Amino acid sequence: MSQSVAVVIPSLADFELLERCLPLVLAELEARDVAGDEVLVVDDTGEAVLGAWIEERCPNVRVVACEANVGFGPALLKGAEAAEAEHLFAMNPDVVPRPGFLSPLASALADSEVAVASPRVLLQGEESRIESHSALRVEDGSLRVVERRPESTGGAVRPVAFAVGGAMLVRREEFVRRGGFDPLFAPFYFEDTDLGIDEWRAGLRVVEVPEAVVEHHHRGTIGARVPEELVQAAIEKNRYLLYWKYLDSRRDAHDHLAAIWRDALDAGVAGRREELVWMALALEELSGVHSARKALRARVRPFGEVLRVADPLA
Amino acid sequence: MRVALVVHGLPPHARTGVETHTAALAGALAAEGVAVEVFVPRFMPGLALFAQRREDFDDGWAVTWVSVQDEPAPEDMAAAFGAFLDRERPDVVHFQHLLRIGLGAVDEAQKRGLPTLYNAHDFYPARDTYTLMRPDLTAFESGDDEAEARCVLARRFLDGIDGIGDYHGTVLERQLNGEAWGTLRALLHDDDGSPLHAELPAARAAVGERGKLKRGAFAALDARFATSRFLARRLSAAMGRAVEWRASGIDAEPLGRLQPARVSERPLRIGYVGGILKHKGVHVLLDAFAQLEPGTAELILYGDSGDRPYVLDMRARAAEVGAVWGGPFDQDGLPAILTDIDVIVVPSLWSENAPFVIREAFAARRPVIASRTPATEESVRDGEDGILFPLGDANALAEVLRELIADESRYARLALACPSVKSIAAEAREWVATYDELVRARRAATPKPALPAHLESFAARYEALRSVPTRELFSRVMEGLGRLGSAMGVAASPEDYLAIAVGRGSRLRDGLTEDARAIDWLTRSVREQEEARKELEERSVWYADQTSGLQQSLDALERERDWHKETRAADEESRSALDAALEEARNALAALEEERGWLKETLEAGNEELEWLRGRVDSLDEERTGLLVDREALEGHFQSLGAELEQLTSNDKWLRGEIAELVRGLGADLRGGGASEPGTLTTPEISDALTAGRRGLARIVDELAWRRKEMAVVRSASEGLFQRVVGGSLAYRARSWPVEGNPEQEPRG
Repeated sequence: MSQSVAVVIPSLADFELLERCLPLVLAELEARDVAGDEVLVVDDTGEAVLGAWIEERCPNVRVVACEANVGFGPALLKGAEAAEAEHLFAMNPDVVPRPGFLSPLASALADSEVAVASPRVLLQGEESRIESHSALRVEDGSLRVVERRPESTGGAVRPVAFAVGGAMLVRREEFVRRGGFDPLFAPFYFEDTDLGIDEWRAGLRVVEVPEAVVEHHHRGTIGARVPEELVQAAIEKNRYLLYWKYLDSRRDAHDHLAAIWRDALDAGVAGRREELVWMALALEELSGVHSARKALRARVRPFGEVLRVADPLA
Repeated sequence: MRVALVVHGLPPHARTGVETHTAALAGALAAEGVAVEVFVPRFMPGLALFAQRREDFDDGWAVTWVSVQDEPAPEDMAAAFGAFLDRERPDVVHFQHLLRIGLGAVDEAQKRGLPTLYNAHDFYPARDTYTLMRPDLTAFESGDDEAEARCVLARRFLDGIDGIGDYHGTVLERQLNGEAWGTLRALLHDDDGSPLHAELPAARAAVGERGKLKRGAFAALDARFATSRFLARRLSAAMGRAVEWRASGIDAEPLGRLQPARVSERPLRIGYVGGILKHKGVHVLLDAFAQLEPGTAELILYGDSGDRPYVLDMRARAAEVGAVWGGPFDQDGLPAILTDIDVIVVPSLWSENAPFVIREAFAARRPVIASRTPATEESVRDGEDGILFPLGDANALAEVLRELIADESRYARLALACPSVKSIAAEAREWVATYDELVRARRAATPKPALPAHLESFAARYEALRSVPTRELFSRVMEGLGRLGSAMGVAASPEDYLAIAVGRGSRLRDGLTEDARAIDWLTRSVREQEEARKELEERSVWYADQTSGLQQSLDALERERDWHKETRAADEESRSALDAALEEARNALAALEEERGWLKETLEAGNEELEWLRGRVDSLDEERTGLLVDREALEGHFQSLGAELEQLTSNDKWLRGEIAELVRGLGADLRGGGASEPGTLTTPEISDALTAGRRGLARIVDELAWRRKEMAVVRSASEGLFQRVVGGSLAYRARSWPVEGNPEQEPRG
C-alpha cells in the first residue's frame, strides 16, 4: 500500500509559477489516487494574497498563510506542520514536475535507511544538466559542492549528497519533529545540503530516483527579487557555516583554517572586499555554529566517510 | 561618521594656507569623533605612479598619499581616487581642493552614491588659473574665457623658455628678455604679434570645454561653500549655483596666549608669513621696506614655495635691503614666529580670499597691513584693526609703514582692536553638522530595494559590513578566525598560518607569478620590439641614404624637367606666334582669293559687258544707220504730217465754221426761219431738224477725235524714235566703264 504524500509549496506572489505547477501536481495526485495525498501552498507573502486566487482555480489545494514573510525553510515547516500525509514533498514553485514523479519517490522511502528521496532534477529542464547528481568535495581546505556525472544516466537509484530542497521527499513527521531545516542557514542556500549531510552522518542515506523527474527553473523565485550580490553573499556565508558545522577532524580543521586565513590575506591585500564580507558574515554566526554542532545527532559516519559514500559514483 | 577630505597637498610636504588648514581641520574633526581619511597627491620617489600609502597621524586621522608626478592623467587619478573610496568607505566626501586631483574625483564619489561638498579657497572651481592672474601678473575676471585661453597659450610659451624654472604660472618682467616679455604681453593683451596667436581658436575651444566640465562637476556636488563672502558671490555668479559662505577657523588657542607686541623704543618689527610666490607680492613688500629709514624697522620673511627662482630672488633681495630671511616654517612654530613680529603685512597682488595669516595675526593681536581687495576688506577693518594700501603700490605701503613707525599710539589702537577669530574646533563642528545633513538627505533620497521581509536583517548585516573600510573588515575577519581556531581547538598562531600561506601558495602568489610571467613576456616583447625598432632605424637610415640619393637624382631630373619646361614653353610661344601668323596669312590669302574671284568675275562681267557693248555699239551703229534712214523718212513723214496737220487744222477750222453755221441755222429754224416760215414749223419738223443737226455734229466730232488721235500717234512715234536713238541705259554704262587699256578715253555717251 502506497504512502500518502503532502506536496507543500512555499510561495511568494508567484502566480505564474503556481499556475504552471499546481495543475501538474494535482494531475499527479489524481493519477496516483492514494488516500491522504494532499497539496498545500504556504503563502509566504505575509499578506495572504494567494488564498482567494488558489481557491478560485484549485479548490482542492489548501492554503496556509504566514503572518509575515519568513523565507523558504520556515514556510516549508509551517506547511509540513499543517499537513497530514505521511510523507512531505517539499517543492519550490519554480519546479515543474513531470508525470509519474511522485510514486517512485514514495517507494524509495519504503526503505527505512533512505531518509531523503530526490527526483532527477533537470536544471532549466535540460536533459543533460542534472542538478540532483550532487556530491561534496574538500579541495584546498574548503568544502565544495560538485556535480558528478555518471557514465550512464539510466534508471538505477543512486546515492547523492543531498536532495535539492525545492524537490525532495522526506518523512513528514520526522522533518517536523527536527524543526525543519537548520535556521543557521537562513536566509537561504545550503539548508538542503545540510539536511543531506546530517542524514548521511546519522547513518541514513539520500538517494536520487531517476524514474521521478522534475525540472528546476532555478532562481525563478529568489533571483527575481534579490540582488545578485546578496544571493552570492548568502551562498558563500553558508558554504563556510556548512563546513564549520561538520568539521570533525583536527587535521581538516587545521587545513581549513590555514586555507581561510590565506584567502583572507589574499583578499585583504588584493582588495577583494566581497570575499572579506562573506567571511565576516559567517564569522558573525560562530555562536550559531556552536549551537548547531551541539544539536547534531550521534555520529555514525565521520565527515570524511560521508564525502565518500554520498557520491553518485560511489 | 567617516569623511574623506580631499586636498592637493599637506604638511610637511606642502605648507601653504589650504594645506595647513586642512591638516588642522582633520585633527579638529577627529576630535569631534569623525573618522577622517585625507586623500592627497604627492611625488613619492621609488613608488609606482598612483601607488597609495596610508599614514596615521597622532591626532586621530590618517592620510592616503597617492604617488603622482607633474600633471597626472585625469582618468588614472580618478581611478586612484575611486580605489581609495572603495577601500576607505567614507560617508561623505569633502573636497578642499581638486588641484592635481581633477574633476573626475567628483564623478567617482557620485558613482558610489556618496554625498559631496566643495569648500572653495580660490577660483579653481571656475578657472584652472585659480588666482585669476595672467602670467604677467595682471588680473582678469572669472567669466573671461578669452583671458583664460590666452593664459593657456602664454604658459605654453613660458614653458619653452629656459631659466625661469617652475615659474608657478607667473613671471616678473625682469625674468624675461625684452623680446620674450613683449611676446608674452602681445599674447596676453593684443590681437596679433605672436605666432602663438594662431593657436588661440583651439585654446578658446579647449577652455570652453573645460568650463563645461567644471560647471558639470560643480553642479553635481551636493553642497558648495567658499571661505569668503567675496569668493562665494563670485563663484556663485560664475557657476550659476548657490555657494554658501563659511569662514575657516584656525587653531587660535596657542596664538591667543601671546603677549601683545610693544613697539616703544625699538624698530617696528614687520613680518611676512606665507608662500613665497609672485602673486603674494613679496617683492612689493621688499621694495617698500627698502624705502624706510634705516633703523626704523625690521623685516623678517617666513615661507617657501616650489617657485625656486622667485624664492632665491627674494632671498637675495631681502639680503640686499637688510631684511631677515626666516625661510620655511612649521605651523607649530607660528606662535614663536609671531612673538617677534609687531605687524603682519599681506602684500598680495591677486584678489585674495580669506588669508589664514590675517586671522592668525589677529589671534595673536598683531595688526595687519594688507593690499586693498574686496576679500581683504572683509577681513581687515581699515584703520581699526589694520591698514589697507593700494594693491601693488610699494610706495604707498612704505608710506603706511612710515606712518605706523611714527605714530606708536596708532599701532597700540590697532592692536587693541584686533578681533577674536573663529576656532578650528568651531569650524569642525559646523562641518559635522553639514555632513550629518548631507548623509541624512542622501539616505532619504536613496530608495531601498524592495526585499522580502525575511531578508532584511541579513541585507542590513551585509550592507553594514560593506560600509566598513577594508582594513577594519580585514581586522574583523582576522579576529573572527582567531575565535574560529579556538572553537575548533586549533592552536596555530597567525604567524603559523602566514608561514603556511607562504608555503602552500595562494591566489595572491599565483597572481603575482602570473603578473611576473606577463611582465617577462611584456619585457621580452618590449625587447623584441626594441630590436625591431633598431632594425627599423637602421633600415630607416639606409632608406634615408637611398632617399637622399634619389632625392638628388630627383632634384637633377626636376631641374632638367624645368629646363625642358622652359624650352617647351618658349617653343610653345613661338609656335603660337607662328600659328597666329600663319592663320593671319591664311586669312589674308583667303581674302585675296576672294577678291581675286570677285575681280575675275568682275573682269569677266566687264568683258561680257564690253562684248555686249561692242555688240551693242555695232547694233547701235546699225540702228543709227537705220535711224538716220528713219530720220530722213520721219523728216519726210513730219513734213507730210505737218501738211496733214495743217490740213487738219484747216479742216478743224472749217468744221468749227460749219458747226457755227449749223448752230446759227438751227437757231433760226427754231425761231421760224429756214425753209419754213419762221415760227411756222411744226414740232416734228423741229425734231427732225434737231436730229439731223445732232448727227452732223456727231460726225464732225468724230472726225475731230480721229484727227487728234492721228496727231497723238504721230507724236508718239516721233518720241519713240527719239528714245531709241538716245536711250538712258546705254548712255550710263558707256560713261561708267572705261574701255580696258585706254582709261583716259572719254566715256562715250
